[in-house]
This record gives sequence, structure tokens and C-alpha cells, in this order.
Amino acid sequence: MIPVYVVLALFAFVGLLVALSFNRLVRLRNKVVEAWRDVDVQLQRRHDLIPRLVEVVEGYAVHEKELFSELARLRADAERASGAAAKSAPESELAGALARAVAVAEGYPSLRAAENFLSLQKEIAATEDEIAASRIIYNGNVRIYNTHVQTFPVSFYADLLGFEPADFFQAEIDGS
Amino acid sequence: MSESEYREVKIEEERQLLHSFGYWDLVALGAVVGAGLGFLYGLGGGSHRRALDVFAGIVVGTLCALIAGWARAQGRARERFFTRWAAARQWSYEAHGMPFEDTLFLQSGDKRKASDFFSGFWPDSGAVLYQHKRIVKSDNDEQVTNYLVLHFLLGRPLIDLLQISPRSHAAELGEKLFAHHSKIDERIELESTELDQHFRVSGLRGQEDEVRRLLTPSAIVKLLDFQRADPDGSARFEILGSNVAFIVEKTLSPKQPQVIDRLLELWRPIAIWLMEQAGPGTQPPANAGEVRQS
Repeated sequence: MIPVYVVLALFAFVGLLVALSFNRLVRLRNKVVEAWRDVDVQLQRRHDLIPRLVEVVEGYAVHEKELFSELARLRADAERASGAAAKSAPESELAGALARAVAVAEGYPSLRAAENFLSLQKEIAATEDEIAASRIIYNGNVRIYNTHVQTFPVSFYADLLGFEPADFFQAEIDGS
Repeated sequence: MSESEYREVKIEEERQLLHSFGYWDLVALGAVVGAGLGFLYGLGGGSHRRALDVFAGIVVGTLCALIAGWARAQGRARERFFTRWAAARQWSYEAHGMPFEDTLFLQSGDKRKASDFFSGFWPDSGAVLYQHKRIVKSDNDEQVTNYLVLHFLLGRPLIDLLQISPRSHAAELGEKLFAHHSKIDERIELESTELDQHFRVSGLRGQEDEVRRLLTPSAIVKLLDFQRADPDGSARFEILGSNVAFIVEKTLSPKQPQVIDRLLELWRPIAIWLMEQAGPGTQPPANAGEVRQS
């Protein structure tokens, strides 16, 4: 009888460990989801700022139609993509184009002095800061979650329980 | 100014002490008082015992006077060094003063003392950095903990209460086991796993949204940056209305005054951010730095 008790106790112990680990995995995954929601909110703020920027700038910079249409196209691409991995590239391109548009606008002295442009410029800078911060938090959460999912002994059963590694949100803006 | 310069100031003070008549007068007085007390103590015994007690009294009295003088010299050396050190940075220094008691942590303990007040490092901000001593009394004992505190007032109240303190798993387990909940201590889990691992964020019950509104992603990243650069991991932050205190468990020593520079550098981004959130009324330290350099 003793070996049966031992085996049962062992099963109970392993079961308890898996249950605790499951709860931790759920918590970590929820954190990833929560952080992504924050990133998404900030990205949406960036998207909302683009038509406002175009509206303010196009009256002054009539020769920059190409840049504006590129902005609109990139914004549409970024909005179509969903999920961290898919959004990484279009959002990076959009951020680059937005930075270029602001730089072009700054080349017009009358626009540079316009109050609505200045406040918009501040808003864009603040939004970009929050996007960068949200991205750091999201990627930090993903790193901790992925490390937990991919290391022993969780790696044995994480997949079975439906926990898969999450994607990082990359941002590569060349030179801007 | 470095440790060697402090040693110079200390040696100079000790030399002055040894050359002052007052000091030797004090030592002589200590010996006389000790001898008198020894004589009175030995009155009941024989002449041999009385002589021994007088001798012991002289030794104890002399030692007490020597130690008192030496301690005074150390205190003076410390004050002189910090005054010079602060003046070299165009700061102000006050050796003594009353501790701030306008946040919950600063009010904690049975008794509080303060010393070494530095100000002027961020001109126009009203910020003060000082050594805060918290004294907790138990049956026959007193436990003294030293903190370095950065204190400043914001232009307007930002939030009723926000506490960010080092996370203690033992304390949390105790709370869970004994279901201890206080009105002013609701733990708020923010979106960053890393922040949760290192800090406990708490506020007034029912004010979670206010805390979340204040602690934006960029604020969280600033806290994480601070945490990575702070090797001790004992830092805490507290906002009570417009009163702000950044606290770290540390004893200030004239041998390592650079601790102050390092802490101010680490705290500055968070202070700037808070002052910007509060709007006019406080001068963000970034501008202050520029003013000092110019």
C-alpha cells in the first residue's frame, strides 16, 4: 500500500505545481495582453494625429502632396495589420514618414510659427514618447512571459495548456 | 571634493582641538569631577579603596572628556566639509533642522530626527535633500534607521496618495494570511510585469483610476530605469497631495558625498516628470541644471 500512497502524493505534488504554474502563466499572459492594449491605444493616437497634421500643413506646403499621400497609405497599411509582429514593420515606416513630414513642415517659417502647428508638434512628440514607453513595457512583459514559457519544466506542458510564446513589437526607424 | 579632502578637514579640526586650551580645560575638569565622584563613591570603604575609586574616577572622567571633545571635532569636521562641499556646487547646507513629516512614510516611527540639509541643487524648485532618522522603540530598545530623503512641493496636488515602495513578498504573504487591509493601502497592479516584480504601487482605496492616469507608460519606464540603476533596491516614492518624498535607506557619510550627486541624477527624470505634470509653480530641475551650467 505504501508505494500507492507515495505515487498518489507525488501526483498530487506535481498537480499542485502545474496548477500554480498555470496561474502564473495566465497572469503573465494577461500582462502581455494588457500591455499590448496600451501600445494599441497609443498607436491609435498616432493614427488620429496624421489627418490633423495633413490638414494643418497642406495649406502651407502645397508641393508636398506626395508625402501626404504616402502618409495616408502607410496609415492605412498600419491600421490593416493586427498583432505585434504584423504591426512592427508598417508602424515603423509610418513613424519614419511622420517624422519626415514634421521635418518638412518645420522648413516653412510661417508654419513653424503657427500656434496650431506648434501644439500639434508637441502632441506628436508626446505621443511618440508614450509609444516608445508602451513598447518597452510590452516587450519587457513578452520577454518575461516567453522566458517562463520556454524554460524547463514549464516548456513541457505550456504548449499543451495553450500557452505559446508572444511576439515582440519591433521598432526600427532609420535615421529619424 | 573627495574622501582625502574630508580627511584633511578632519585632521585640521582634530589639530585645532588639541591646540585649544578649552579642550584641555575640559579634560582637566573631567578628571577633577571624576576624582570627586570617585571619592564620594569610595567614602564607605577604607583609605586604600578610596584611593582606588578616586583613581578610577579620574580615568573615567578624563576619558569621557576626551571622547566628548573628539566627537565634537568629528561633528565640526563633518559640518565644515559639507558646507565647503555644498558651496563648491553653489548649494546651501544646514547641519541641523526639523524633519519633514508631511507624507505617511516620513511620519512613521515613534520619533524622527533630521540632519544635513542640502538645498539649491535645483534652483527655484524648493527641493531639499536631507538625512532622515526614523526611531522605532520596542521594550528596552530603540531601532534607528537612516534614510536619505529628497523632498519638494508641487505647484498643485497631483493625487491624494501614491506610494511606490520596494516589494516585500514576506509582507504580502502576511497580508494574505491575516487578511490585513487598510483604507490607505490598496495594491494596484500596473501593466508592467517588471515593475510589479520590484515595486509595490498603492494608493487610496477606490482611487485606482487616478493612479493609472498618473502613472503613464513613460512614467513607468522612468521608474524602471531608476530601478535598474539603483543597486540597493531600497528606494521608495511617496506623493501626498502636493508633497513629494523620494526616500532611500542610506546613511550619509562625508567620506562618500558623491552618493548625493548620484541619487539626484537618478531621481531627476522622475522629479522633472512630476513637476511637469503639476504644471506651473515648481521649476523642473532640467532647467535648473541649465541655469547652473550657464
